[in-house]
Amino acid sequence: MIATASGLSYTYPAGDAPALRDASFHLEAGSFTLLAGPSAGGKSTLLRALNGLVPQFHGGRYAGTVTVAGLDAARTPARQIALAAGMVFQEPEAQAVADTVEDEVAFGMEQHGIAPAEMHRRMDEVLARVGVEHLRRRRLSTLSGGERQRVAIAAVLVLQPSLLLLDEPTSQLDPDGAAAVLAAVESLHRDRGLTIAIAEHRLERLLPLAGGVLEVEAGRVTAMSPREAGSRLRAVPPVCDLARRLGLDPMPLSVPEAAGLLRGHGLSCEVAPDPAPAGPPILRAEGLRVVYGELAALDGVSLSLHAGEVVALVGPNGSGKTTLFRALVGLQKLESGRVCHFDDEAPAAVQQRTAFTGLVPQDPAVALYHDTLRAELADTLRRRGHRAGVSTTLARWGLDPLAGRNPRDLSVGQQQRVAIAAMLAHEPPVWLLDEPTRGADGEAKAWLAARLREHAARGGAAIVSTHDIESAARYATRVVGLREGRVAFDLPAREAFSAAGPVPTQVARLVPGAILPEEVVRR
Amino acid sequence: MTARVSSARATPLRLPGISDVAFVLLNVMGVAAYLHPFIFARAGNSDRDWFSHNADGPLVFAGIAALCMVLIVGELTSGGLNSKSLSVLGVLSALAAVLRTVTLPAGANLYFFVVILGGYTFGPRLGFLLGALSFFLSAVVTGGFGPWLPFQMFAAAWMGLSAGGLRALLGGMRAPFRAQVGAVVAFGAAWGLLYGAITNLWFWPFWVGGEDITYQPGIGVAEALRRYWNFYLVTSLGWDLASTACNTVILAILGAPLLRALLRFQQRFTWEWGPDRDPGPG
Amino acid sequence: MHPLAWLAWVTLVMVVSLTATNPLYLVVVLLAVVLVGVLAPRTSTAVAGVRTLAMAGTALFLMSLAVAVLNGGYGEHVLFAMPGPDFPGWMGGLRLGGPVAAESLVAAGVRGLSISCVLLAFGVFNGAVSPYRVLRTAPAALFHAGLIVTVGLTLLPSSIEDIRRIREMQALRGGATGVRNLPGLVVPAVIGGLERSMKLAEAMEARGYASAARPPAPARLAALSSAPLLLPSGWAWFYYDSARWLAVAGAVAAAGALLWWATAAAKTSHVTRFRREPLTPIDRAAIGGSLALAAAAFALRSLGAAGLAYNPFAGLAWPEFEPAGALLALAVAWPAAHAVLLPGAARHGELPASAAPEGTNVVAEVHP
Repeated sequence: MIATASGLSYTYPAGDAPALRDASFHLEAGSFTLLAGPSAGGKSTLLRALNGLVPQFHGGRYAGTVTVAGLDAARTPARQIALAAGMVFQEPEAQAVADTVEDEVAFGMEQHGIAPAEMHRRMDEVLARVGVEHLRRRRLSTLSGGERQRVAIAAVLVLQPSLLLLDEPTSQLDPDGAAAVLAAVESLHRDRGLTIAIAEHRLERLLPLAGGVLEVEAGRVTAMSPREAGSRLRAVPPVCDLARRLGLDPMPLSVPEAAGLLRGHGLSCEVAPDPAPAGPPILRAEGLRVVYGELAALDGVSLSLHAGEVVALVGPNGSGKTTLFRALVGLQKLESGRVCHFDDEAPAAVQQRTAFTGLVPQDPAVALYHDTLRAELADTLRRRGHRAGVSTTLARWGLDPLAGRNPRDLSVGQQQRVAIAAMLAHEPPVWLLDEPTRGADGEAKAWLAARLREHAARGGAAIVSTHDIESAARYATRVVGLREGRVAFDLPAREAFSAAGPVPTQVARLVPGAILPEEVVRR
Repeated sequence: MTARVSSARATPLRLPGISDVAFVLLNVMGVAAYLHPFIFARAGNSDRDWFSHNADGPLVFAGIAALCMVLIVGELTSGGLNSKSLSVLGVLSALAAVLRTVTLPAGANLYFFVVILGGYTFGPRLGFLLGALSFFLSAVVTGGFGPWLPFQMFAAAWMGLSAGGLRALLGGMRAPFRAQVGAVVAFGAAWGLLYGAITNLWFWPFWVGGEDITYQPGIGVAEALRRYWNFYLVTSLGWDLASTACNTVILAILGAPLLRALLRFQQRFTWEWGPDRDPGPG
Repeated sequence: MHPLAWLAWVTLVMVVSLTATNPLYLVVVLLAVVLVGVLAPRTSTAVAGVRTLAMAGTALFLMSLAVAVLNGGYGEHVLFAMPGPDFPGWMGGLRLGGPVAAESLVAAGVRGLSISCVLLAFGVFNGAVSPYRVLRTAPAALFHAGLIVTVGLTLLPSSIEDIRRIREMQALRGGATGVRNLPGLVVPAVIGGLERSMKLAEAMEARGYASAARPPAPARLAALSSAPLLLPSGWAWFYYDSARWLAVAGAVAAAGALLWWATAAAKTSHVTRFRREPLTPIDRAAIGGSLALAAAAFALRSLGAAGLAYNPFAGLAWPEFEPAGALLALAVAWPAAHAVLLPGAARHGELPASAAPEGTNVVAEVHP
């Protein structure tokens, strides 16, 4: 037993509700535990209680005991716990102390006064183990998110903890970066027998790996097996959702497993056909070309958007998705090509163009600065010269309960919603959203899908860039794929998400014709 | 076992004993090294010879000022500097260095607000460190190491230090928020001029111009002050006035929202957990 | 070359160019510094600093001359008279215009030359030594102060990126630019920065950060006493010739106290360093040699030997040019010899060029 908690209750200093309520659980040595549950449900707090940051760093009201490797986590100095339980945080940028990879990894060892020769030995070993040896002399600011997160893991491992805690380490990363980080974590567990506790939303990747699951919701902790988790958690991968609807037993955790179980079941699907877009396109891009130095970021992209359409824009990193958005709103100078609103050339100024085509960039919450959400929305409306009442806007976005709260006090997921509302408060006909579901939990994704469908139903249109195929299948009517600055495909959603399409969903790979779990029926 | 948050009202750097003495004494020494043209103005020197020593003399005093700065920073960053103070200083220094490159009309600069409001929020000692280290950082970035650096660091450090003092003063008077903002704006305006006057001082002894303007050992305090005033008038008063006006306008616009945000944050900053306090059931 | 060796060199240039008022030697020093600047490796990211400081040096030189013309009353050899306005008395009796004496012009030129030498030397220093190396050489007593600066440097790129993104986002919200919308730029940047600082503090804590322990009280008191010892010593040295031995004694005592403090701090420190740049014997020799030359300059100057001192107000004569003084000025060029004879050693301690992409100087790109 490497860690145990009994009767753990905790409230943050400014919190009115407990973040953890009477939690009792234990982690076996060498186990791989997944912490699941909605964001702001208490997963991060639980991890922090395991290395003493809660309550030692955060203050607050604390009851119960947590023991990690024989140490009382609430009373042992965090410095000492660091040698037993290492923690990797969510944001790669907010946990780096030094400038280069080596200096960053060395920080913990320097603070513990480890002899230089030993430091060099551990450095070589750890860098090799997480696969960042080739980056050792690089500056951190030149690394990708996935590389930085692996450096963060190395920086913790170098203290040789027996327990590794990871707080949503991939939520800020693209799929490739996330895969590399999770692969590193997996091999640490498999090859070195390191005990892992990881909070994550990417369940489809982790459920098959985990030995046990702790569900943390509203501060309550429930231990269960991965298969139980597949049938009991509120937000599960589509495979589990499908299996639940069909009452499969045992619960499959991956697509191949489900395919085996489904063999012989006669399944078909019920699908309402998507209405075909009508009328003239409201936004049209013709032959957009953007060049950075030698490199063409966009190389002749043409695209038209009709009222009622929600386009999912997919493609690997660096394929030009963000550049396309910037070009559409006029933030990016065009080498050639033009952008039209209906039949007219779009105005040149960003301010006028965004009155028609609202863009929400990645992490929009960084620009929030007012004391209340109401003031934040009123600010956008004032800038746009809108007379519309703030209350109407609040109601439309379903944010009335938060109106008087300070945006900085909200959870990350709520902040994200507030920021999207603040950027689009003036209700432009066209929405452009750049990876709005990155790091979001199931509830946040459902909220966004609902807003997008409402917007389309009112006659608006949207383009959403995303790596998240499964949630895109819930709102997209069309899928556009970019590759190396060119349109690789432009297909109706049903075709794109089907098993034969370029971006099949999990369900599509199991049931021909269906793309979402609720479309599947027994014959 | 239950324990409650202990919200420490004071700044997290609490230095008793030697530290307090050191902080005060070294600051006084820094001031003395700074003001040497006035303090040593009475020292005897033959009229013809002044040209000889007004370059290597100031060099030595610049060295002493640098030493005082090193000792104060060393003293302040040992013992009580917790991780929160350290990272707040790092973050605000970086921000100050970046904002220093944002040029505004008439040489006004956002750099001052970070130091003044940071000092006001986090207290005199952190204010001192913030001023000194942010200047050092920005010198590092722009390649601005030189004999002037200790003087600039001191000027900025005193700005942060006095901003922390201002808060203690206003807190003692239980000033309402709006009065605090007003006081900070006036304070910022005053420092705009003061900062110019202080940072020009290091260079003055090296300067050779006419008799109304040049530092000359042995001229007496009053005459030294008169000549420095002339020097300041010729070299930078006009510029400083313009930038002070701009600073005041900007501080008036930014002061209230920024101060509100900082004070809100400061509550979080001072949360500490003491397991041994309040062991009773809560 | 070790950062400390560079530091010793800069000190040497400062001492020689500010103790010597002989323009001939100053010209030699200036040429020596330029030579070093040309031959020394440019490894730092702050290359822009060299140009800026060189330009500042030239500007200061020209400005000294200009002010001497406008307000140059010292001296008997009046060259010509400048017309100028009269200022009211409350302004301190400033006089602009009037007779311009040759002595004033010469004195201003000499001083401008010394200042240019110093500025240029620091420009070369800034260009040759990266800030990270300077921070790494900081003594144990300053480890945590260095850590603050390192954290600041690490956060610079993301702070710049934050400010750029916030500005863009306010523009996307339909914000006009201008002073009135400054809160929309600065407030979120500060709040975001502070929130990041808490996350960073947490991460540091989780990796075992510990505040520095204080050196023992006697060592701290000793360090504390050094400043009150040095200040009067400096005073005595410059203004009372008869008390010079006292000044030297005070300086030696202060140096001893500081050394004790630094050693005690190193002993109390709990941290070890991953990257240590050892001082090679050549570095040590260079540091010792530089300090000895600086001391020699001071000594020669106080003895009035080698023609270091030149006073235009004591009669406008052609300055002396003696071998001892000229050699002293020429010795300032030693890093050039180092760079030529040991080209490999000069680069020691720097990241390879490919690993050190343009970093800190991107700051210049932020403009509203």
